[in-house]
Amino acid sequence: MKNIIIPKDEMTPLERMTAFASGDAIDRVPCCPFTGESFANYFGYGLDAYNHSTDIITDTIIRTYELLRPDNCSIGPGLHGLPEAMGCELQFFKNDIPRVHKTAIQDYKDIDKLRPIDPYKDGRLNLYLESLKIVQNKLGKEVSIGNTIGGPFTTAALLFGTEPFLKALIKEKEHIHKLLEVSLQSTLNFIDAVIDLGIAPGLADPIASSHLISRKMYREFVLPYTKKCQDRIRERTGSGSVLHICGKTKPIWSDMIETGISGLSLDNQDDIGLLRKQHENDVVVIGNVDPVSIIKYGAKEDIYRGVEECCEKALGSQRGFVLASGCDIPIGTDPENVKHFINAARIYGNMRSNQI
Amino acid sequence: MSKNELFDEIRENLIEMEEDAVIELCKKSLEMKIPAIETINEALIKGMDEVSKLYEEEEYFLPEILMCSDAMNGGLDVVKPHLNKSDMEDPIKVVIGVVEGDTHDIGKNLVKILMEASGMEVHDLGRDVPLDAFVNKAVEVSSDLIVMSTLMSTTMDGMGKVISKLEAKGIRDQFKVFIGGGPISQFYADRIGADVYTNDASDAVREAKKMMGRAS
Repeated sequence: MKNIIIPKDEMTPLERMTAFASGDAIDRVPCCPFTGESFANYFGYGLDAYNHSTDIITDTIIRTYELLRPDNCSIGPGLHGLPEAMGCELQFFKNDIPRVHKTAIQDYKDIDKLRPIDPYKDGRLNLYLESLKIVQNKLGKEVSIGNTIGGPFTTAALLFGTEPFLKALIKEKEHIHKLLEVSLQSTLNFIDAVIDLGIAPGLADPIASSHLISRKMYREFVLPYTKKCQDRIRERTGSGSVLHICGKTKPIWSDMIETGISGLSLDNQDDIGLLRKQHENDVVVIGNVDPVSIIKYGAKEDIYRGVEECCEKALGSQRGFVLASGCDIPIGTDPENVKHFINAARIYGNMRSNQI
Repeated sequence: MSKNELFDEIRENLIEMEEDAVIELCKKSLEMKIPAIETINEALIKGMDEVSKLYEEEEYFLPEILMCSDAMNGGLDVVKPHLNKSDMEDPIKVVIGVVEGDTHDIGKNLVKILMEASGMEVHDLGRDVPLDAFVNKAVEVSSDLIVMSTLMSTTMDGMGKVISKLEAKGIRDQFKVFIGGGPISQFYADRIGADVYTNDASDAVREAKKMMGRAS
């Protein structure tokens, strides 16, 4: 590969994101690989320990930032935080994210027993709030701090077990709406706690993927609840937030946008060029380099090419474009590869008006 | 009610996800002395064929398929004990599971449902399956296919390890290895030397039939 000169950044991550948010000129495309806890192992921590210690969370997040200099740092209880705080039993692993060991409810009649979470007392949620506070204090002047939590639909699915939950969507609608309602209240309580720290929470709702449910079901069981989350976020911060749904989402792009989001974070299974074409006036387009084939397993050349293609398709998008991974950076990825990813953003995402 | 009318009703109720009705109608088929094999092939499997089509046409998604599959299995439980041994032809044999470390089994279950619905003999190892279990089970039942699924990028490398284990035993050629799941791609299948990657369950069934030289 020829030696390509990597342009030097002219803004700090925070300056770039702030200018981006207000529509001012920026030096290059904002670049947000979804790392979170991805490098805990790399820094010598087990993920089970990470998930139980504010010190380890903050150390991992700060060192990841110092190593890579991405344009945001995100800390969140993941998809399992809310279900656990509502009664799911989790299992933790050294080299992997937690999983549900026992669902919170096994029967519809138990739905009435569920209570919305207290973000400061239930489960491990406060660990993440404390970590957000610490990282905000230490890095908040340099980089924007973010948070992602599971949407009400995914939370509800984990509370009941995904398969029984999906079946119940057909014949037990009343029960399902009751379950979604209490999941929504939990999500809103956590959203409020995050916003109280001056941080805008994003939502992830993988079970709402178009691989799993129809557009009709999305509109009936997901859209109204996501909208209530976005309404709350907008009411308190002045704008909607980012929504990520894994896998295919093309059939529901307009529905996702209807919830009031400000940014649509696209999985690598869909075409970001098409999203841009259809919705560049509606949302910030975020995505979508393949985190496995390209970022984890690709050579430097592959990563550069992946970023170049993505930028060709989405750079210049009307409401803005954020270069990101199509999903979380896999645990075990060499941080050098993520450095290549961000360097490629400096090259192919150059947005200086006086381009060489 | 004639046999054909009964079969029509079973198919319709299966497609409409009416498990109880399918069970009642299958009981009726026994009262009418209809051979179990006919009810299975002409009513239950044909009904699931329709369901597969609705899935491919993006009319039906997972919730609907899971409900239809419950209805099919409800019917099968009624008629299966009445099958004659000679009714069983030589089906494509499949060993399927979610690799060790991963408990996301919805994708695997969908593939299993559609494979069974097309008459294959599926040995389901479940989820979080130790890698040796794939090899051992495939040898034990003389499987044609080994089908592995995972949703997690942390566990996907287990698939390559299963292939290495087959190679180490000198039995790699005896099986076609199919892989699928969220982080999996053709790139990854080539990388680990799997035979087939498909990104959806009905493609997996089609490829399986093609590989084994069966008409679809």
